[in-house]
Amino acid sequence: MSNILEVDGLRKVYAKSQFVLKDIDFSIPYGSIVGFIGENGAGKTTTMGAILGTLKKDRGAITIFGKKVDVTKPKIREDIGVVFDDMNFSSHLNVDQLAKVMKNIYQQWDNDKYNHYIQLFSLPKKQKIAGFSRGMSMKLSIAVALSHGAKLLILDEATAGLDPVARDDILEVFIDFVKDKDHAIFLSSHITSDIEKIADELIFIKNGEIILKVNKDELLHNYAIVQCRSDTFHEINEDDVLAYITKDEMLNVLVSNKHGLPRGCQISDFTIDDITLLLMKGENNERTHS
Amino acid sequence: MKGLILNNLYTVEKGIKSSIGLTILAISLLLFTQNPVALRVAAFLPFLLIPVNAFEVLKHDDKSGWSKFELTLPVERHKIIQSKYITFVLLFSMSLVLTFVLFYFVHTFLYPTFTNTFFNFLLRGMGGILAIAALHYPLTYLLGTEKSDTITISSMGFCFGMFFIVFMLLELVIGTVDGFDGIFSVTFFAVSIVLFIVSYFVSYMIYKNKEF
Repeated sequence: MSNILEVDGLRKVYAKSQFVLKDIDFSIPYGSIVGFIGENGAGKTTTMGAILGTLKKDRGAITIFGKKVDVTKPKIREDIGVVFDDMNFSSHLNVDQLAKVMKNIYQQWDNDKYNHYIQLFSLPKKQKIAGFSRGMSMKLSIAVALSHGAKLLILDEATAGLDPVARDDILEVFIDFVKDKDHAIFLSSHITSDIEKIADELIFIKNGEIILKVNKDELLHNYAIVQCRSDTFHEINEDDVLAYITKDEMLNVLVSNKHGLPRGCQISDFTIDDITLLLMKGENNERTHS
Repeated sequence: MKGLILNNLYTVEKGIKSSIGLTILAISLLLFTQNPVALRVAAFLPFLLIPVNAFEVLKHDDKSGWSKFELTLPVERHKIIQSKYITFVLLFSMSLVLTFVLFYFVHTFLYPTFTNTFFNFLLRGMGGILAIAALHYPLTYLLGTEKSDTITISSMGFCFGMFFIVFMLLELVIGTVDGFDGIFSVTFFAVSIVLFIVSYFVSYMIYKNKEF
């Protein structure tokens, strides 16, 4: 068994909205950090909600730790740590009271570990959560997610609201979490630099559809953003074109194989942010690369 | 389950403490007046002040995001609903104990308070808040906490409605016999308990399909 999470043909339709999550498939291998990238409203939170059971799926199968997820059997959630982008806990509790609550919910709750993270993140123990900044609340949610023996972390914008130093500390914690190859993280973030720093695999989602699934190393070594004229663009192997955008008379093209490009294509330096922009704003090739 | 209840109680801890303080003060003042009307009010007032904190839990859960987060915990959905109802029952029991303690104190040192009137109004107070809760919970799960004012008014209307329906039906069935007040109070309380139990199942039916 090489995947900690498998999503197969997941579909979710909202009665009062046009949005549809369109039969998406992906998997998360053990020992990996998978970054989930997309604009607001692309379907990231819906996907995570359907996996976690906060939303009801219309179709598809979700397999976690090799077992099909059954929402009526919540024991599996002992091994899943969750952080949502908004507040997670009652604002009237303090850090110590929250520990007492969690101790009576999670069988594997580890108070020492929790106190370790509370100290690491410099959180006050007696202050009500109501007085916490957004960054402090996110740190608290991460501390809880890491303190009950979870094997899989599902983090929806978990680094949002954190200052660069705190983000860096937390990213180190995440890298450490998957080190033993028995854990994995599924992470969505608007801060693509965070994903670039720690993710092994990347999944791009647009309008409820997965448009690209790729290994980060492969992306950095084989993919490229190239600039070319229209006539040169047509010489690029169609299968290698993932997305393109026209700027003046030139085209910016995301290609999956930078080694077989025709003459006249100029390769530019790129970040995952640049790729995200091109995939989200550009014309997408019909073929989904995976 | 214990963790969920603990979370509910911590969430409204401040409100509970304030309402206990207010209850002690109000009942003491009412009982010291030795006025028969004041004694009646004192018998059911704790049930209007303390258990209502349990309704506030739902509002706080929505506002804080806990209502979504608790669905990711390793607990079944019916346990989440149970925890809300048990929190209400705990606060209800606390009100009952507090009422008895205060009335016992006055009964022992000042004047007799454990009269038929006390028991009648105690039962009506308990029945009233149970009837309010019986509609408040399912309506909140159905309409959402943003409609809390409508829900509160509807629940109180439901409580008064049940009160008069039970009264009229009982009068129709047994007539105005000796001890009617006592029979009515017990009947209203019993009907409210049944409504409260039915309400739990209705809330669960609504909640099991709820999405966050």
